[in-house]
Amino acid sequence: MMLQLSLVSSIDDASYDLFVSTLSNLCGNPPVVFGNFTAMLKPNPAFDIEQVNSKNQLVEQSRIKLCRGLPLQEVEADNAKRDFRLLKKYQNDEVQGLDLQIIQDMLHGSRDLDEMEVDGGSNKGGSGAQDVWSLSISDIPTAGSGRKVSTQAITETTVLASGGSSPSIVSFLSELGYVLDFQLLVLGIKFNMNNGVFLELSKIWRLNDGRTEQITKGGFLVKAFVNVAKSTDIKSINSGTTSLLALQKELSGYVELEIPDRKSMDSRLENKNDI
Amino acid sequence: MHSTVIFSEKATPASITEFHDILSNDLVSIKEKWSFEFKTYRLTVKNLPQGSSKLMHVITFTNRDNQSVIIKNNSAIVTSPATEGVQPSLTLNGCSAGTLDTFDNLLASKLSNLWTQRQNIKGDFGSTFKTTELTVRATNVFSYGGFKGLLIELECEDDVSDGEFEQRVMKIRHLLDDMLTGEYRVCSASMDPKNRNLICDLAFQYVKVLEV
Repeated sequence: MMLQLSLVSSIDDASYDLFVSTLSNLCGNPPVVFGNFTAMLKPNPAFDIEQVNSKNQLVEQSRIKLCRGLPLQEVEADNAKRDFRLLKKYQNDEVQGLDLQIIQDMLHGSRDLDEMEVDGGSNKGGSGAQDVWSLSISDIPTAGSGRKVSTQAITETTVLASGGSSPSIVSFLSELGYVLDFQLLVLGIKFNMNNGVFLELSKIWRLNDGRTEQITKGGFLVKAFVNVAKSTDIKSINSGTTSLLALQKELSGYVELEIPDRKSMDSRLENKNDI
Repeated sequence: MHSTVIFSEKATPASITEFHDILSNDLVSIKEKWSFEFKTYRLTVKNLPQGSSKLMHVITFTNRDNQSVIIKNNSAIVTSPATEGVQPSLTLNGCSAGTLDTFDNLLASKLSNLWTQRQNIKGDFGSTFKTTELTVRATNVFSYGGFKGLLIELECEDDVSDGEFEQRVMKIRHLLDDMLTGEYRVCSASMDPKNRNLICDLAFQYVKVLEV
């Protein structure tokens, strides 16, 4: 279990260029372009699931997050052109250049064996039907009025491959008791600031019936975060908090980094109706 | 790549030494020690359709980078808690925070309302023998401290035909027939013969021989 400390904000599309050049100056490095596909799964609603476990402890149902990198060469084939300007093309619902079928194949396993080889090959030397995912469950951020940053615990593991007669991550997770809830696409840039702070600017789309709808239309989500490997490592938590607050102060008056609403970061099943 | 798993409940704790002695004429080398852990989880959901399986197995192999295979029915995934095993594509794209837990941990801490652990079978500090034909791994198996039997894992790294592998396995089985009294369980099956995956097949064979 690790801890993620974070602060968030947003900027509009028009401020993008200036923000990127300001941040590049501040951290001394240009940002890196990244993209990922996230599938959220929820416990099968047909199941009658107990609220307590065998030790009679209360266990709330939480969503599982599956996440995997996007093949960015699909979006922009030229490696040299894959810099922050790439994101300026993406102000609408449409994610140009990305074949959504690839994503469905990632999730459900490609039916066409030849296609699978091509997919594996483009993921840097993967052998055959590699199915690498990050699988995580996050807690609701810790409560308390005295908090200066958001603190969220995340339990994560990596899935290296799927096997069996229908080898796909989704078919395994349905055996585990989980079904697909919603799916997101993220394209963004990431600054590696000092002291272990990362700052991400991202565009987010919701994927629905093979169509994409941008939920960050008109702007970008700004997220500054520090990952702390051990939740008991008070020293790292304190220094991470200090670093985040220093960045918050530095950008203050320009972009206001704030603590995100902890309810909107809650992945428990019962929560969705509250937002 | 082929594999077979053999489990004898009738063996004694000393059988493994006896097995080593019998095998010693054919040994090329003796390799590293190894362990495995076999856990059974049971789905707590009550309103499942009749006849559907409630058991899931998590098999962890220390000698294979601590990878775990999780098997339920005919689906399996391979997971790893090794941080160095995180694919760069995951970290670079903001999917992984780089600190990993085992799948067992995830089940115990987050999904214990769905899954309860039932059984814990272990093989600790087993031996690995290399013969000219096969890699033979043998270990005594314990469940909560009590001796359960002898488990032997046969693996062939060479690219041989199914028939050839079967013959090599038979030679070992003949040795065992002379040595052990009573029946033992053998499984050479693959989860999906059209699409072999060594570690998944191996885990599947563990389930078949250990789960009564």
